[in-house]
Amino acid sequence: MSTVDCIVMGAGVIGGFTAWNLARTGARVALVDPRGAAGAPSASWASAGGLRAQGRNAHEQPLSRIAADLWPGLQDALSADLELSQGGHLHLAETEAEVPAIENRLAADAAGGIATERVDAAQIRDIAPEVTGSALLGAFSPGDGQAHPGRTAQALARACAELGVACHFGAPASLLMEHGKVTGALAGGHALRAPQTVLATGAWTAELVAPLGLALPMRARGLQMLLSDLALPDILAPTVTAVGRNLSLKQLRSGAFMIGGRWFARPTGRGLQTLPLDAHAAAQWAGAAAILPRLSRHKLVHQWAGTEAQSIDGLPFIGRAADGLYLACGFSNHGFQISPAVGALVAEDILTGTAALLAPFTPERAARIAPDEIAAFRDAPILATA
Amino acid sequence: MTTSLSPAQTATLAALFDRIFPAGADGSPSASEIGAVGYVSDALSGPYAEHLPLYTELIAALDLAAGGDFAAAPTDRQDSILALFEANDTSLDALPRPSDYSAFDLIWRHLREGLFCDPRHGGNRGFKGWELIGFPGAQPGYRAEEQQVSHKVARAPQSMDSLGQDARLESAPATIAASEPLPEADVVIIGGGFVGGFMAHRLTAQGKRVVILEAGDSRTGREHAMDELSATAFRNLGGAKKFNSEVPTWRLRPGAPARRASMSQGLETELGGNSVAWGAVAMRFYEDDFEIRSKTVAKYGETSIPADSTLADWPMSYRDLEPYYDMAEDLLGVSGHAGGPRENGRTRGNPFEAPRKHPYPMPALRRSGLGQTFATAAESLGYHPFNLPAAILTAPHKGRHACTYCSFCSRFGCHVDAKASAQNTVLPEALDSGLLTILTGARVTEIVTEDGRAVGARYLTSDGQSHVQRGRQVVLATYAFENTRLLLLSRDEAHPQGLGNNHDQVGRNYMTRQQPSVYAVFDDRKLNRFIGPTAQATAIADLSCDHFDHTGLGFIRGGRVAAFNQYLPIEASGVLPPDVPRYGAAWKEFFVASYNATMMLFIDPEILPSTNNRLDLDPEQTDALGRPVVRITFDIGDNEKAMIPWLQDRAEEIARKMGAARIWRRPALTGPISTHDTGGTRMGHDPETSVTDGFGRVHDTPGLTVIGGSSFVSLPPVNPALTILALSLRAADAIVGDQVAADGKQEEIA
Ligand SMILES: Cc1cc2nc3c(=O)[nH]c(=O)nc-3n(C[C@H](O)[C@H](O)[C@H](O)COP(=O)(O)OP(=O)(O)OC[C@H]3O[C@@H](n4cnc5c(N)ncnc54)[C@H](O)[C@@H]3O)c2cc1C
Ligand SMILES: Cc1cc2nc3c(=O)[nH]c(=O)nc-3n(C[C@H](O)[C@H](O)[C@H](O)COP(=O)(O)OP(=O)(O)OC[C@H]3O[C@@H](n4cnc5c(N)ncnc54)[C@H](O)[C@@H]3O)c2cc1C
Ligand code: SF4
Repeated sequence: MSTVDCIVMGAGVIGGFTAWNLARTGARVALVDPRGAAGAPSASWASAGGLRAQGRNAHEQPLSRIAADLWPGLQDALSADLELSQGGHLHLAETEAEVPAIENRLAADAAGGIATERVDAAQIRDIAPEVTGSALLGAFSPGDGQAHPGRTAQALARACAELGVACHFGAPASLLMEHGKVTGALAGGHALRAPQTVLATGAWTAELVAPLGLALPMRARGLQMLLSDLALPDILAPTVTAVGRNLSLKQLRSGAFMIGGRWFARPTGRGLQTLPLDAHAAAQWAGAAAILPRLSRHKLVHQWAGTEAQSIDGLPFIGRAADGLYLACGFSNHGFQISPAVGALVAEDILTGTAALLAPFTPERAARIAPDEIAAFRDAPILATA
Repeated sequence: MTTSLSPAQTATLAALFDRIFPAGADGSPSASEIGAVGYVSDALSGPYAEHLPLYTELIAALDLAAGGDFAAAPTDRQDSILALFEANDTSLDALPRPSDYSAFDLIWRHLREGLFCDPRHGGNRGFKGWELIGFPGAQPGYRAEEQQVSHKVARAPQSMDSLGQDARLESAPATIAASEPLPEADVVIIGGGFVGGFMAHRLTAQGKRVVILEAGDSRTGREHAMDELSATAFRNLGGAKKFNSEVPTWRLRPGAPARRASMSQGLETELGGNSVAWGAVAMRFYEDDFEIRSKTVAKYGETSIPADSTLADWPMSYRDLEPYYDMAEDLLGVSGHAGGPRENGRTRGNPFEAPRKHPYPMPALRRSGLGQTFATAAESLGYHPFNLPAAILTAPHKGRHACTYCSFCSRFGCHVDAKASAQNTVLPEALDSGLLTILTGARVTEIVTEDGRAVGARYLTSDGQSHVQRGRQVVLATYAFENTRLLLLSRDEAHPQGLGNNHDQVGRNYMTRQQPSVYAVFDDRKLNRFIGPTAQATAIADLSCDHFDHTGLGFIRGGRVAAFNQYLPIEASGVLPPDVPRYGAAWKEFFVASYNATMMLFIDPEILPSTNNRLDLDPEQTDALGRPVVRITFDIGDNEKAMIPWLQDRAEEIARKMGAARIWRRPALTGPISTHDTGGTRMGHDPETSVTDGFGRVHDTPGLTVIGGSSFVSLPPVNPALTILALSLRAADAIVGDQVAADGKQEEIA
């Protein structure tokens, strides 16, 4: 048996940043993950890696600002190439009817202290020359950008190991419950005990807390990504999204274009694994080609899907959920950007109990949501219909 | 004992290297400036420690020849000593002379590594070697236009370290390190390579419990990605460890002395076998190949078959194998354009291709600029060029990425799993069934029999324990050499000469591909062959098989001619026309000027089975366990001696038509260097002339199936693996059928 100060379950970006921040204070930490850092089909494995502070919920804005300050220094702090770049984020309106959505976003970001600018058609052409000429207006946040989530999670695991974190990777794990409370974890049959166990287990959280009788208003959804063949690098600097489209589009360092959005993938019945749906891929690609016409001359070379934990109100659950149990899950398709801030604040909250910024994310809010609403949320169809 | 070179020794080595690869009049760097001396001296106190004594002796010999200090001698004196050294001249009496190669062969290889390896290994400092020849190193991939002839590839050279590992790839298959055996399986498969993986997939899909015994370790299948040095030189320490301890010997004919064969490719003996390193050309045999003897006799008469040839028909027809070809292509994700007769002039595929019911799973790899030049020239000579089908994706397939044309392909694990391996195709699905267990580190030494029936396999674990894993059926799938060796080394009362060998057939009819390539250099264009997989090749089959009239030619059958991609600098710097020496300004200038202008027309000649050629146990050489290694007896026969130069003439015509400035060819006999090692456990209906039936079931040993290249009856001018895999799937179905029948009988009795 071993005892540590804190056990972190889940070595995705959330668990990774949490464990790293705890370990940096000198705490004794164990990091547990049956798949290791960013293993398939986790969200951090699949993620598009967009760093977008613009257009977020007001409760997340303070976290986003902290994270935006942290990202530029992370490659040095982790001694790793995270494929980090800051080409900005560009959100487009293509019709007059969509213009108010941009104006609202600009106002909300201004209120939250996020540096998002109003850009007109000519400025859009300067920022992203190949983007469709039909864009009328945009919201542009120059400080945003992209990084490689898998490499980030792997770099965190390495940095944790160097700080003496005990990494238990590759073996099945579950919560350890004794006398009606969570006292740690079982990893590969080995009992680990700690006063606090953090569940940063993404879409797997539901199955882990079920034995406690906890049911969170979350669902697991596979999100699918597409990748094009190579173009010359530096054609598209910002990540592009659009009011009227289910789309996110960016160019990677290699020159390939990566296409995301909220397109759900098909469950396979093998754990939480999902596979891309061809019908969605076609629509996804068509949407991207409408924004970046050159894509109609490119080829699809890769597609994959990873599983995200989506919460009913789009906000994560962060905080104590039972004796000895701390939750950090449900990042609802946009957890990567804020993950450095979440990790720092969760560590602080565990060690000192003073992270007020996390208050809005309390798991207690789950009790206020009606069961039929939760059922409808969970049962919403996977397939997009025209 | 010293563990590295002294400063004085290093000075001699530097002087030597700088005469072999001198600084240019144009200021271009010498070997030591590129870092080759530092690379070699570091390697001698690391991975190449075993070569330190040779270097010490060599340096002493050079110093002696120079009257004390080679480094201080005038350059013309150094050059004349170098000429003697390169020629392995006996007048340099202190020169070390290893038995299987010359000292120059070895240091020349190491020098080229130091000039052109990825800088992560210490050579090619600051990319100086790569910049000299315009090689971009490890790139995430290439755009189509970069493969056009004479397109200037404007990419700063990169190390594979700056690409890192893509975190979106899956991990290695779950295996168990072998110790105690598992309960008796329905099928125990010896060898977790290509055949083992495919058979396990087919068997578990039909509910069979399977145990694979694999001698090597588990691995992802992406090993050596984008690193030429580790995929070739260092592979001796990695993927080919077991094979390198048991390399066969080779002699030309009975009675001649046998020497260690120089297997240029090496064979991988870890999980996935050679499915990781293969080049992924995935081509079916032609329809007539299965009736090769009867068709030849019908057209050209009995006398057309060379007297020493054991040419025979296969114990199956193309139609019997066709559904299994379909299955194998689907599992691999083969890309290609369907061919067949060009009645409507519409086919882009191979016009001679056997009829197929389904298109390829995805379109062919694109045609490179070089491929197009070849195609245009070939067409003007009346041939019908086509892109070779390849087990390389051109579109996403089951979680795998399409090819990026990175070009570190044959001999390399694929960095994005575009190239099919056992790991990225059959093994995950077979493991998901819950019916397959893979024991790694289980080196099989013997097939165990009871009352003449195979009941299991004895294996050695890494800690030296010996166990027997039992199975209702035993499958031997360890590549042609080990298949033969294990049969010969497994004996019982009913099989005193080895299993399957009651008619002295094991090891007979061995065939191996010769590689009599034609090389050509262009002086008016750049080829960019460092882009694209090997298998992205344009070929003609007009000169294969009986696709042309042989009347008056004096030989039967033929070969395939193709222009391949993948030209990586450590290997390429060893490719020279006969009039360019291996050292000095002449070598350097030739290589720098022609690295990106050299084409290879690869010829795959059909090799007929012959009574001269066979595999047996070497009476003298043993492996580390004291067991005899395989001895290869192989020479080309009169048919090949007439056919190969004729094919080389045709290839030269194409090269000239393409506009080549300088052309040369390799000899007709290149020996057992390819990986098309076939025959040895020949399939056939007649136990007197074959080892197994058409389903791989050993005639004289119930319970035992043998599958691999060793099963081949003949060796058409086509890469073997797709046919090997189709035979495997068919053999798996036969096992299922036999077990169903046996269970039925059991029930009747009960
Ligand atoms: C396709 C896709 C695109 C996205 N794009 C963006 C984007 O552009 N920008 C952005 O900000 N966000 C994006 N996101 C969201 C973001 O990636 C996720 O919110 C974030 O990665 C969540 O990280 P996590 O660590 O909470 O979860 P995960 O990465 O899913 O990690 C959970 C971990 O828990 C482990 N686990 C499971 N069971 C157990 C157990 N029993 N014990 C211990 N560990 C266990 C899993 O193996 C896994 O490693 C995207 C998500 C997806 C899926
Ligand atoms: C560089 C290269 C390029 C190639 N290119 C092509 C190509 O383009 N097209 C083509 O058709 N073919 C190609 N081949 C050949 C092709 O890879 C082989 O034909 C194919 O892999 C044979 O499959 P196999 O299962 O018989 O043998 P292997 O794949 O070699 O598998 C044999 C397995 O048995 C294991 N084993 C060996 N001995 C023992 C023992 N005593 N106990 C337990 N396990 C053992 C080995 O470790 C290995 O895993 C190429 C091969 C190489 C090396
Ligand atoms: S298939 Fe070959 S050339 Fe293509 S990406 Fe893989 S290794 Fe590179």
